[in-house]
Amino acid sequence: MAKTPAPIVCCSPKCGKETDSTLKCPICAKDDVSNIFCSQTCFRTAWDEHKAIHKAENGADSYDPFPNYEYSGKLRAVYPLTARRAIPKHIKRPDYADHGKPLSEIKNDRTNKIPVLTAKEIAGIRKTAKVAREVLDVAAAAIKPGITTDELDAIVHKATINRNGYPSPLNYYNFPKSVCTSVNEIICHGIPDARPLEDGDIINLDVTVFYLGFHADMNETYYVGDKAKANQEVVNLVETTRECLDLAIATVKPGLLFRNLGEVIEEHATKNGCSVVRTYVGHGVNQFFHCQPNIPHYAKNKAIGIAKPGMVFTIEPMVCAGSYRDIRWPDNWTAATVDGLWSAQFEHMLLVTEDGVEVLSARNEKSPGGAIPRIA
Amino acid sequence: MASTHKTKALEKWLTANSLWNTELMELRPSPIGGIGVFAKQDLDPELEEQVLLLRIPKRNILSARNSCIANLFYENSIGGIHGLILAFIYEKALGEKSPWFDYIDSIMYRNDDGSLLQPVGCWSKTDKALLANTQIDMLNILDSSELEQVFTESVTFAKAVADTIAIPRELNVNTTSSTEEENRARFNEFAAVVQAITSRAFEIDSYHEIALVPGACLFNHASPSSDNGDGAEHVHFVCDAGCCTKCGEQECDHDESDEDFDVEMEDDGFEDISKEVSGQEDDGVEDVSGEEDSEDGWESDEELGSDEELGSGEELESDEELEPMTEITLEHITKLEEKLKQDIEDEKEETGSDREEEDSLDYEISPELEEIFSMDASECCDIVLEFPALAGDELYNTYGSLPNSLLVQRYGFIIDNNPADYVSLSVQVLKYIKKQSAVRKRVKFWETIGYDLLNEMIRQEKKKHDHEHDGTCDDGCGEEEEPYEEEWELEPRILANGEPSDTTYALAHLMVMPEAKFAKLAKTKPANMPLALAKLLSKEVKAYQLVLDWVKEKYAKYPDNGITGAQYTALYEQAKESRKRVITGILKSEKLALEAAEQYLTSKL
Repeated sequence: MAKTPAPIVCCSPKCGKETDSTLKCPICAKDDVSNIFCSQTCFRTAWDEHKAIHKAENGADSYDPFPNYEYSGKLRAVYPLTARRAIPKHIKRPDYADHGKPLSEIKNDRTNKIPVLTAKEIAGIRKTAKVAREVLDVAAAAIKPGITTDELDAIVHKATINRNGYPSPLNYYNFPKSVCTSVNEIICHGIPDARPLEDGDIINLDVTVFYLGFHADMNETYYVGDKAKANQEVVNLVETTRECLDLAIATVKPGLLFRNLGEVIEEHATKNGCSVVRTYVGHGVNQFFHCQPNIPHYAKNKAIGIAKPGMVFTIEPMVCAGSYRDIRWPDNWTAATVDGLWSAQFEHMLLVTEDGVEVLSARNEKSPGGAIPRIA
Repeated sequence: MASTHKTKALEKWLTANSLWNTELMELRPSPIGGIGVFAKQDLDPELEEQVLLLRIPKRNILSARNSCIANLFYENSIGGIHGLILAFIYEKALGEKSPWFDYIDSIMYRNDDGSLLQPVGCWSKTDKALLANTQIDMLNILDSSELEQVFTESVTFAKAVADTIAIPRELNVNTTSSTEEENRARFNEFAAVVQAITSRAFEIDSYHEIALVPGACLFNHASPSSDNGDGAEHVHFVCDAGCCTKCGEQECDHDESDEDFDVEMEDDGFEDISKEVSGQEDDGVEDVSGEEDSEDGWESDEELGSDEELGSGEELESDEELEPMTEITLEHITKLEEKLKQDIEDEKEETGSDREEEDSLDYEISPELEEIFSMDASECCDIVLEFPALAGDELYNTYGSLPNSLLVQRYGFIIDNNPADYVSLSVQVLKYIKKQSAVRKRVKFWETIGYDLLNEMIRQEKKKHDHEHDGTCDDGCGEEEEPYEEEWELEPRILANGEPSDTTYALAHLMVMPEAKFAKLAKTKPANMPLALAKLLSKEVKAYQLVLDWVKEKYAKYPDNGITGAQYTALYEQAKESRKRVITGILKSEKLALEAAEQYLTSKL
């Protein structure tokens, strides 16, 4: 008996609808890959993102997709990207998976309500966080000079679906990959690509897993090879950032005004000669990937809200060796420092308890990475 | 008036949190009391660089939405003025730790003479008794029960959230351990805070509702120019009120049809998943909402705001408008690539010119200010220059054309010779109607037809008149129509100049006209009714006499043994204490108006 072919869906990440259209991408077709746009509109609106998976026109293995862009540092985007990774059917997908728009999140947005989780929900999100920690640790263990960020993405993707989770970044507002990999001067939201890591780099892996109806979000910055660990400035940056997060977490308990977290972080960063990014903030995380409260990491912010037991949110300071200012690459995602100096980030996911805080994303004794002493 | 001290710290706060144009204006003591804003040079609204005096982002204003306990307000369904009062009290309790400390610290709760600035409702019985029969009495402003209600609710809220945040001093009422006197003192402090807030609050938009706007409240009040024609006010408060009620953004996805969302929500799978975890039906997605600012871990404004990126592409033609395509060819791709390149070039050109402007700032500015520079006006509250001022002039805003009674209620001050002032004759009119059973039909006629129709007509006449004289007519002229009392019973009044309002006179005329004439008027066809009603404004001795009777009755009702307007004027001039000035000022203006009315009406007999 003939097998029913899988339904063909439009390859625009903004669409994802089933289609019987004949509008094939001719460039993909040359390599025997079938990518079909359901309409001219999808072809036109998604082309820019779609073409990232095409090989170089001159036949080279890799290429810089933004040759005219003035990068602020030494890092370059290295394309092509690999095609979007598949999600097995049995895995529960968040509402944005097909078209990129987190509708439920948008709908419930900005009401000043900060969700308080029930005991049952807390039990659920604890499990999600445990899975996300496993995924992060698996990927972190693979970090070494020579591995590409795309290979790390493959590891994260596989580890996530093996645990019946959905990698939350995938197609969230059309983010093309399953993890954010931010190398050196990249502040956050780096897109995994074909660049191999080099001895002396630092890399942040930002993992989020959607599992049991909850998102669990955490990240760490890792030294690549031994060179980075021997670089006094780099170690100062990374360890300062790690400490900033720990100091902030220590203040979390019921009654904490979220706007006060930035004071602790900025004070420690400044004391160590570093600056704090202002554009990106921590956030509530639960049934939604991102919701209230917003957690700015800089001092004198006017964030709203006060902590109550049962709230779950992230603190994820991005700290820079030079200017706090960020710019965005033409891929509309990658945030880089304006001066090309390096930036590090650490993120934990926190549950406010009756008398303090539980770090849902806590490391365990087997977790790769971890603090190293500063170099005198 | 904006009573403000510690101006240095406040100016510093304003410089750090808003665009506060220190080159054009400065803060110093105002001759009318408290602090005022003064022009440092001649100002002309025609000069573009002099128009914007203050721009403060909405996220820096002190509102319930911006409060550090905004989530507790949400949970307890508190908003509006009550939310603002609580937001203020809790921020105040944080002292220097509040990001609004220098602003809050600059607010005074006492008059220059040391007395607590309190709502009239909280004044002593003796003081309140002096205001009997005045407009303040008529409008029930002497009653403090509403304020007491708000106080009780605030205390209840503070107790309910006490395990999350400490109870602020003003709300720390303890019926067991504190004496009644101590609790009364708490209420008095609370009342002074409420007065400080109501005298400074601005309406913002449907998201923030009302808020304190640091800087904007420093501009003292003058009557609107339209009232007296001498251009007393210089500046206006401008704030884009149109925004999403859910998030306060101008462009967001919340306005999209909810139906669309509901459909999408049904198959988003959240409900099922929640059940899986919680085993409860009710723990679905509806219960888990949250706010996401432009600055969350992922998105910046542009991304959340730009529909064309996510939607069907507004800028691009839809499939129907395009040539039909059965196959994507390389030629199509080349064409599209060219277009995309051109789009980027165009965008560069646009933002490029912006950047030049930014680069031309040759001084270091703080990250906060840099953010304000890049903000859209709709995200901010502005004070803009509307009328020219000379160097050294105090710059006035107008809080609207308000009678002294409402000025006292909201701001705690009165304006001498206030053209918007009036004295109500409602009590006298209603008493008259009650006694004259014969006029009942006429009252019914007035209530159902006459009052509204005549008002409508008078306003249209006035509009025509104004335009003939002024020539210019802004688009907004329709909106500037003065509202009239919706209920005819509240309308009868003597204006500040001593004349009865048109409808007051018309009502008196209606009461005194011969029965046959009234019968004819009542039977007039709708089309001819306006003209017939206009005749009520014609001269009729009996009508003047009736209004005069009402005026005399009103005058006799003040429990002051007939102190005259002239005598009150002398008392007013002598009064130093602010409360005495308010009391004598109110009585002086009412008595003078009624005395002028008596003279005017007598002259018509």
